Amino acid sequence: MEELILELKTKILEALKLQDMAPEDIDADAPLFKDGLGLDSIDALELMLLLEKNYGIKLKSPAEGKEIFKSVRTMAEYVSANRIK
Amino acid sequence: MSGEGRQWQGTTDGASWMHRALIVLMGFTPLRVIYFFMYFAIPVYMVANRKGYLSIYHYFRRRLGYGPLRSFFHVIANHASFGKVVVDRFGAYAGKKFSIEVPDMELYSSLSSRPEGMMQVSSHIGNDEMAGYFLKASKRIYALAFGGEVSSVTENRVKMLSCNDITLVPIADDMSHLVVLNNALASGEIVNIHGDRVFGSSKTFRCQVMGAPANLPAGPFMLAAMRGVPAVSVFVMRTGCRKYKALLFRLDEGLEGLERNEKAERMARAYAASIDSVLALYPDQWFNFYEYWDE
Repeated sequence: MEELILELKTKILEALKLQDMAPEDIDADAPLFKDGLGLDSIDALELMLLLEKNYGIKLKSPAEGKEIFKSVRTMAEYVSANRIK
Repeated sequence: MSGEGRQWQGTTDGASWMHRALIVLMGFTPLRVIYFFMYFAIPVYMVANRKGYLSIYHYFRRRLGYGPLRSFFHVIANHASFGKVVVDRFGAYAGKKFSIEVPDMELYSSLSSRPEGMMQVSSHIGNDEMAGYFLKASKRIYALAFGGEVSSVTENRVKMLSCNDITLVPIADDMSHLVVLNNALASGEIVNIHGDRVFGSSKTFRCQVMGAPANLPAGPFMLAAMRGVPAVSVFVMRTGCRKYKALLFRLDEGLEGLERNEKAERMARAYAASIDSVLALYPDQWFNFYEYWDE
């Protein structure tokens, strides 16, 4: 799981072009939106695309997005359970 | 792309019971009679909504370069146009029929019948809601809508739009609307978003609109660029009693191969240019009743 978390952090930094940050700057349990990493709705779209392109995951239910994108760890747990790539 | 900008949260004026009463009245009253009574409300609105009045006055003075007196009369014409557009919208809810001319229907049909999705960017110019009622596409349209609109308007929109295979997607705090829109484009459907007001994300593109810089929301253009789908701006302009004309502009032409962010920004600029073209023809149908530009 820790390996997948690191991989996700790297991909998130790449996708969101956060060049001045390193993977270790992101707390795996910190919220991704608002108070945490401060991401917004356009960043959420980037994360959806990241899951689709890298892991073949397409979110099915509109409600599940909030839970999946709570933190890097929740994302990693979801990827681990649902990846098809 | 900038992270700053004003957020817009707009609803239709009036309580739900007033809207319902208006729809009932519309059922048996000719539109011209309603227009006649609507004229009496114009001076009231101009006085009561001073900020709105001033913003439109500034639009005519600064953006179109009209003199003070000409600007004043155009503010009246603008309010009359807006009143008619609102009356027509409720008329559509009451079952009144309108004719809509679509010179670029071939372009719309060819883009909307492709297997990939399509981004349709609308605006608060003319009567964009009429596009939903009368512009027929061969696939389902998901239209992003402000979630705080009063129930009577939402109920009637849903009723009207569902006949034309259109689903309203309210903006939600949990961002569930993003999943719906993303999946819609991924499945080859059409997504409609207003491109002239900033809401949700504060990320914007700074574009020249009517010769002055303004912030346009990055969302619709980024989503189209991310999914690699064609994008068009759609304006439905009132041309007479019960008559409308839909104007379409392709936003992504010649942008193949560009980096995603640059492509989105260029689409936003093309959208701003399409606003300029439409307002050159219909200057009185600009319906953003707040200081749109920074100065």
